[in-house]
Amino acid sequence: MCSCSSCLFWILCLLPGLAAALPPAVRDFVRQAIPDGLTEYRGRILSAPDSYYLFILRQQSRSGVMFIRQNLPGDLSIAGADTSLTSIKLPVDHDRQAAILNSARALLQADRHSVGSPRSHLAADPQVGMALDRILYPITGFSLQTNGTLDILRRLQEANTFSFEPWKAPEGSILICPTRFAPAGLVELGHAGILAHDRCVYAADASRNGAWSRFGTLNQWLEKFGSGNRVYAFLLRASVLEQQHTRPLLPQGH
Amino acid sequence: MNPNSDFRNLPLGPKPVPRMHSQHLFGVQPRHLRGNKFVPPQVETRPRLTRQIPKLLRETSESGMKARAIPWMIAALAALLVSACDESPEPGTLPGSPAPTPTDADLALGNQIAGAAVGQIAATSESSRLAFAGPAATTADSMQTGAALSELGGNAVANQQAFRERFGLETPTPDQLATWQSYDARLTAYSNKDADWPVSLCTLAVVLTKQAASN
Repeated sequence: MCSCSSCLFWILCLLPGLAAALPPAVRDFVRQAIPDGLTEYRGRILSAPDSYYLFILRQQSRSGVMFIRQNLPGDLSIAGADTSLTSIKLPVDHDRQAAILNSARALLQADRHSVGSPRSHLAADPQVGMALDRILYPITGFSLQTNGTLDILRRLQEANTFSFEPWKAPEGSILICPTRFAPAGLVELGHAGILAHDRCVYAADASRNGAWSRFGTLNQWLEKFGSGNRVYAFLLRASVLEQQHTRPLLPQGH
Repeated sequence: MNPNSDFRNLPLGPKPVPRMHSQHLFGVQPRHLRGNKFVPPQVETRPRLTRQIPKLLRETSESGMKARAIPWMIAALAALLVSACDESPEPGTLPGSPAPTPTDADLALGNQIAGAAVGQIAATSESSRLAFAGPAATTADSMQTGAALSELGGNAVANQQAFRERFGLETPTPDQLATWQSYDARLTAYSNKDADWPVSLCTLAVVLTKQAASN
């Protein structure tokens, strides 16, 4: 009750600052910090004494969200970025983070989706985890339940899995390179896929509206997404079938 | 004799006999006093390991044994600190994850997942092909129009009309058609723009087939 009321309080406090224009200093910072990728400014969220600028970031076959924080003296830094809003951890307390993320969610839901896409998902959500859940859940009963690469990595580390070096991973392994960013830049959105029999990686392609796609061989996938990131490989244990899991975040009809 | 002198401190008793003399004369061992206990000199000899090792294990509570264990404890502590300070997670040695030795059941499950990953591509391409031929009848938008757009036959005209209304399509006028540029594209193998195989190759194949049949 108390947390809900504090959340509402923060939302009401933050609403007036949502539609502010993008200052030139922030624009220059984004250009310098993220030379690779397209950015789309979605709004400003005031959380005194800081301001958070919300961007949709689109990189090769990936899309995600990014927060740029401006403190009281005017210093700019990248506060958080990932392929899903839910997995972003801002350097603020829990209540304030919940308020900022709720405001960001409202900003991202402002635009409409393309025809046929589920309305319950955000425009910047590439549905990486949902695409994996469509394959994993019917076979194993295991589901990731998140679209953020940082949360996917955490979920796989905590699950009943084997971990491998990517180039030693057996077929059916889940490959994950989590999102990586530094306060001054760069931002590299993460990606996740499945290693198939042909040693090729299959995953959701954000540039094709999240369609399940083939991303070439393992080496090509590593070169494309894992060159600067750490890449992990996990194989689900057969005993995971005996475990009870909640339903995945699949759209209705699956 | 001086009367002021004290005689009590004078050795007036019998004169003590030297010890060596008493032993020599009477065959009696000299009595050793407590404060002059005779300690024979220690001779450093190389200890035999077969005896010393069990002794070491038994006497761990002694201070000497503790002193010998200190270097080992320091080394173990240093190793523990080094391993604790390394924050970079090793992909092959994650905490809580034993050695990566999947069983046949694990590999079979992986094969099943790998097969499903490839099969999902086929399913996606099939659904996209159907959607391209006619929007799927189960989408929410087609349900809103009230028409099953994938149906043909008797409802083809009505479906086509609903499709045109939904996307705002109009029949182009001759003037519009005159201004359009022709787009000569060969999209599929079923195009009639050119033959898939040269005629000479087809003829050669037919001749070879006939010859094989006659032989």
